Amino acid sequence: MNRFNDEFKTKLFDTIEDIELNSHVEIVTIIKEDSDSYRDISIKIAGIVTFLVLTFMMFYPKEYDFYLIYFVTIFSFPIAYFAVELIPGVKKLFIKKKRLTRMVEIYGRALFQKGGIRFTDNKIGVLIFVSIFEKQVLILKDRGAESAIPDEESQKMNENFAKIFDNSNIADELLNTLQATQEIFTTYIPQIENDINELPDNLEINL
Amino acid sequence: MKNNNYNYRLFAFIASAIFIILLMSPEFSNLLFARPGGGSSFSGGGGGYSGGGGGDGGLIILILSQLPPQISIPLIIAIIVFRIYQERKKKRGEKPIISKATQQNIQRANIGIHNQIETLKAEDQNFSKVLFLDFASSIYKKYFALYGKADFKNLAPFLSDTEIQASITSPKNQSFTEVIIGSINISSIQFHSNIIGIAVDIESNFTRVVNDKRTRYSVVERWYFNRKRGILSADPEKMQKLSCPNCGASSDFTDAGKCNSCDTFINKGEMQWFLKTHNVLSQEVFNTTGIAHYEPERGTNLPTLYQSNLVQNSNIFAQRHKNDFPQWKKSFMNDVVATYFFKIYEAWSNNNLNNSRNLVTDRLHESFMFWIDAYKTQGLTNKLDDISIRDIEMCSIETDKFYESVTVRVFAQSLDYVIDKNMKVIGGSARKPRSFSEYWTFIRRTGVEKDTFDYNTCPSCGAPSDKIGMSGVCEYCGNKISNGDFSWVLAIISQDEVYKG
Repeated sequence: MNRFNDEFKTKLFDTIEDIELNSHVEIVTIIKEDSDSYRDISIKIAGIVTFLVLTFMMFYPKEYDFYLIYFVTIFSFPIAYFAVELIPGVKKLFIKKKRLTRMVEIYGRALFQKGGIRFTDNKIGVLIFVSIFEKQVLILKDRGAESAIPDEESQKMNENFAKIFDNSNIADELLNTLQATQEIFTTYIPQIENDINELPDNLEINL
Repeated sequence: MKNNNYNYRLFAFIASAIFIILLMSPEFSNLLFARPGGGSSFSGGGGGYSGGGGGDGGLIILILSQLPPQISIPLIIAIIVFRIYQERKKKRGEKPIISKATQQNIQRANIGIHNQIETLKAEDQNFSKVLFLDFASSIYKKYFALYGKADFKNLAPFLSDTEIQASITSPKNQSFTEVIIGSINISSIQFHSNIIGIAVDIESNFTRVVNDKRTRYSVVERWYFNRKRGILSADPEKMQKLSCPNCGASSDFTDAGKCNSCDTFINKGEMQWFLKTHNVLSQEVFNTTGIAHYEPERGTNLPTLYQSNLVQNSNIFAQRHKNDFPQWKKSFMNDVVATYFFKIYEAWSNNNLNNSRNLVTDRLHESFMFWIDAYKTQGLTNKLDDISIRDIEMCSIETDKFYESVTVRVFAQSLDYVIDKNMKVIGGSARKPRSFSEYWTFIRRTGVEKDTFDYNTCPSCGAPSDKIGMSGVCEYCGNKISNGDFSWVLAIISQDEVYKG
C-alpha cells in the first residue's frame, strides 16, 4: 500500500473532482490490501505442516530427542502460519478464484452500504473498489447510474479496470483508467446545473 | 529431582518467552478527547506512541544460553517469523484508502472558496460570511423547530417548494427539539447565469421525538442555498432575525408566502437566500456512553493552514484600524486570545459557563452547554488542569462591510481527564499532560475599535457580567453582547484535524 502515498491520494481526489465537475455522477474510490484475511488457509497449511513434521520425526529412522520432537512440532505450527501469512503468493495458491471474487463482492457491497453511497437523490453513486491481494476491481453502481450507462460501456469499463494489475505501477494505472472513464460518465450521466455534491468529501468507513 | 528442576526451569522460560512476545505487541486504543471545542463528535489528533523495539536481542541471547538447542532454535525461529509478520502487518495497515480530500486538496479548495467569496463580495458589497452563516443557522434551527407544524409556513420565503412539501407530508407524530449546531462552514459556491448557490455543511445534534419516544442524533448535513444574482444582501438586522425581506417585520407569512405585514408576495430567492435542497451526509444515534474515553491526538503535528492572502488581509485590517499591525497582533494574542482561552477553559473545567458567557457567541455557548449537560447526565466532569499555551499562530483575517474575523491556531497542553462523582479519574490522565492544538475564530462588528475590556463585565455597559443569560443579552443594559457588536467574541473552535481554513 506504500505506493498509494499522499501524492497519489491528492491526485485521486483531483481526478474524481474533475469527473464530477463534468458529470452528475458521485464517485467514491476505495483501495484495500485485501477483502478478507483468509486466515483459515494459513491455519490449514500450518496444521498440515505440523502433522508432517510430527510424522517425519516420529517415523524417520534416526532417533530424535524427546524434547526436540515435542518442541519442533509445537513451534512448526506458528512458524508455518506466519510464513504463509508473510508470503501472500503462497496463500493465494490455495484459494479458489471463486472465493476471491466472492470476498471482493461481499466487502465491496459492505463498503457501498456503510459508506452511504446509496444516499444520492438520483441514485447516481458509483463505488470503484480496488482489492490488491485478489487483484480485482469491483465497480458497484447505484440504480440510477446502472440504468444510465449501457451494459456494453460498463463491460468495457470493467475490463479496463481489470487491466491495471498488468502494470507494475498500479497507482498510476488506476488514475489513468479513472481519468479515461470521464467520457462515459459525462456522456451518460451529464452534469445538472445548480446541483450539489451529495456525498461528503471526508468519507470515513469503519467496517 | 534434577529432572524435575530442569522441567520447571524449561516451563518458566517458555512461559516468560510467550509473555514477553505478547507484551511486545501492545495495541493501544482509546477514544475521544473532550475539551470545549471538540466534544465527542470529533476525533483526536497527533501524538501517538513510540517505544517498544529492542529487547529481542537480549531475549534471544537469554533463550540460547538457558535452553537446550532443540528448544531454543525453533523458539527463536518462531519469534523472528512472528516479528517479521508483525512489522509487515503494521506497514500494510488495515485501513482502506478512500478517495477523500488530502491536506493539499483542502488547502486548494479553501483558496477556491475564498476567491469565490471575494467574487461574490465584488457583486454584492453587503455579503458577509459571518452574517450568511448566522442566517443559515437560524433557518436550520427554525426548520427543525417548526417541521411538520402549521407555523412552518412562516419559513415559506426561505425554503423551496419541495422542502415545504416534505414538511406538510411528514408524519404528524414526530417533532424535533434541542437542535444544537456544532460547526457550520461554506463548502462550495456556484455562480450560474442568474443564480448563485452556496452549499453549507452543518454538523449538529438534535432530538427526534416519535410517539413521545426520544432519540438523539448526531448528523452532518449539506444545505444548498440559492439566490438571484445582482442583488445586495440584506442588512444585519434582517439577516439575523429571519424577518420579511421586504419590510423587516417578524416572519408571518401566508401559505403562499405573502407577508401579512406589508402584503408583499416574496418570490423565493429574489430578495433573500432560500434553501433549495438539503441532504444528510452522515447520521448516527448519539449517546453519552463512552463520553469519558479518549483518543490519541491526530492533528497536532499537521502543518498550520494559513489563509492564502493573509499578508494582504493583514494590511487591509491595519489600514482600517490605523494600527501598527505587529504591535496589535502581539497584544491581540496576549490580551484577547490567551485571556479568552484560559477563562473559557476554566469555566468549562468548573462545569459553569456563566463566567465566560460574555466571551462567546450564542451558537458556541449552546454547543458548550450541550456537552456539559452530556457529561452531567453521566455524572461526570471533564477537568482541564495546568493549562499552558505553547504558541499561538495567526492563520486568517477576514473583513467585510459588517464583520471582521480573526482565526488563530493555539498550541497548548493540559492535564485533560474525566472524573466521576467520586472524584475517580475514569478517562484521560491526571498525571501525563496532553498536547493539542485548536483553531479559534473570533468575530467583531466592523467599526468597533475596542480589543479588550474588563472580562468580568458587560462590554457594552460595564456592569458585572453575572446577568447574561442563554440569549447573550445583558440584563443591566438590555444589549445583546454575544454577536460581537461591542467586542471580540469567540465564534468557532475547530479541531486541528478537521479545520478546513
